[in-house]
Amino acid sequence: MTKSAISWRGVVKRFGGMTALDRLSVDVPAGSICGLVGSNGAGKTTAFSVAAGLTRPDEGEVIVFGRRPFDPVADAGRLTLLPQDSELPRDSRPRDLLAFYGALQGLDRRTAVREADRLLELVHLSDRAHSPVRTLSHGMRKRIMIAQCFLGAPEVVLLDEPLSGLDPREVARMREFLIDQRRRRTIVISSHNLHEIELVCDHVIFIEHGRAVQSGPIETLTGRRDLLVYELVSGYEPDLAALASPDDALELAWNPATGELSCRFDADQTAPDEVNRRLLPRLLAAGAPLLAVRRGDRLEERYLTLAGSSAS
Amino acid sequence: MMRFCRQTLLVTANEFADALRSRRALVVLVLYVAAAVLTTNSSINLLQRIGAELGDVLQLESSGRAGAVSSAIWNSPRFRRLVIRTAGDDTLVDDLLGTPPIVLIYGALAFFYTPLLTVLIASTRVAEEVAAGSARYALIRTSRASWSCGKFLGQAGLAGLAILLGGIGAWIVALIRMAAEEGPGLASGMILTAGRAWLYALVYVGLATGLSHWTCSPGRATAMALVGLLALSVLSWMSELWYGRSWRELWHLAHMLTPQRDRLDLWRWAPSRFLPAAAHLVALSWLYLMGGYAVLRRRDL
Repeated sequence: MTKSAISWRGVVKRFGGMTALDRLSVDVPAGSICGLVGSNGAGKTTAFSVAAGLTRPDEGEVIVFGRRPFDPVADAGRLTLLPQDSELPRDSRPRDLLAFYGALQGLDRRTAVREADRLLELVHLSDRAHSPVRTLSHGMRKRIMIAQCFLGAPEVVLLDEPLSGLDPREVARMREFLIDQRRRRTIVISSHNLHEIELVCDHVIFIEHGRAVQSGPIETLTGRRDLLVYELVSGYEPDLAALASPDDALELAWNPATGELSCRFDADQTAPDEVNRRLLPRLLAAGAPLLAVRRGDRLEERYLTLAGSSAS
Repeated sequence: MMRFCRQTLLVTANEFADALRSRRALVVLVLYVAAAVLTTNSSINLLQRIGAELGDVLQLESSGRAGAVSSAIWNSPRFRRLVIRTAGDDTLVDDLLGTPPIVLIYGALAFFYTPLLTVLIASTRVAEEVAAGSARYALIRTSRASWSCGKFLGQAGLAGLAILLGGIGAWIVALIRMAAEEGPGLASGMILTAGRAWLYALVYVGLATGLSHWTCSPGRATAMALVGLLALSVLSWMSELWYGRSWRELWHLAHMLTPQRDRLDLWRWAPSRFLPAAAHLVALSWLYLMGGYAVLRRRDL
């Protein structure tokens, strides 16, 4: 059984008459990079705030490190957070600020300063280490906000919309950095950018109306393990009966709206390349105008299907 | 406990450094020092004029040194008897007359302006950080208690610096304008007065920082602190005016909540009067801070 880094257990949080979290119960596997996906107001930010101890739940609890709710004193530095819409102190200097946060979470002064320098280099802001925060651009401030999450050796990092506001080059660098962190620590990323989630995460939680509607490994949810999708030129309609063969045990489905032919197979019996080896020649022989082949559904399609059923 | 103290000290140091970098604090600090310097200068002019006139009336020996006449008046038995009759408290008058007049003037200035100074600077800090969300970065690394205490102590440090700088400014003006040999005596008097004013200001730092915990709007926090400052003055005035027997003794309790109660005791040299006053002011400052912390402790950030 996979160990959980964070477990929301029946968490309810109300703000006045609005229920932000409605008995949220879900686990984040330790060592995973987990995407938290949901529409605006679904409860993602509140879920983070409750986990980090900044917001008190009305009911339930969030267990971190498999033991108890997060305690900012006893667990200082073990769980870090990039909160949404939270500015850094305007008059501080990045190096001083990072060293202060490092010292606050228990690093000695020298190590805290060294960590600050390391992280400023990582986010390419060494040259602005002594500039007041108020003089930095939005993107630069965002990079410092991300940097503070990786001070010391946090075991759990909660990132709320980490890549928004960054330029494309920094997005690519940050993506590489996050992927590199896999299995070293647990990272939970809340984002509306499903493409980024798909590229970075190995686990995903769909949350709507304060509840987890589905969660699991991204491979399972998108069908990457047992689904191949063939993108064809729109207007062409394949003859499924001609493509199927009783020996294959392949389950073919055609989606005229997207122009995609999906092929589900038993991953334990057949490898994806074997499915391709069998199906592709038939498709090409039938004159199918093939554009691309990919493994599984897009996360966006999966999310839209779930969000649609959740809304209805 | 060690961790609490360490984290509180870290927040204090950071708060002090950040407050010094803030433009608002810098402007108010400069204005305060300028006010100290200008008021001291004007007071010396006034003292010299009064000194010359009173010297004639009391038939004191005239001196060519600036400030010498006022010092002579200050030390003359006739003036002493006059003040004792007016104040009605021999020991207090003795303590006051044992202080150089220019130091008393700086003290009056510090006691008058410092509450306003601290309220203007300290009132926004917590509200600003909670509103901007920057408090969250610290509060996932430390307890709310040590954060609040650190904020308070940082602001108390800033108030201390302002009072000290104001005192140094006033001392330099006094040194230039008055007899040079009075310099060391004036310096020690200024330092002691700065310490008294700082103890008095602590209550207002506690009040402003505490009220700043109640709201997410820095503007509202400042308004609340100014109202609080005014309310304490009114409460002190009312409790002095209406204190009496039976139920009116309740005004004594109200008076205990105001720093004005201890203002004069801070000028006394007798430890039996000074120390309880200082302890009461420190306790009052923490009481006001804790009033704010009680709100923050339960608050969602």
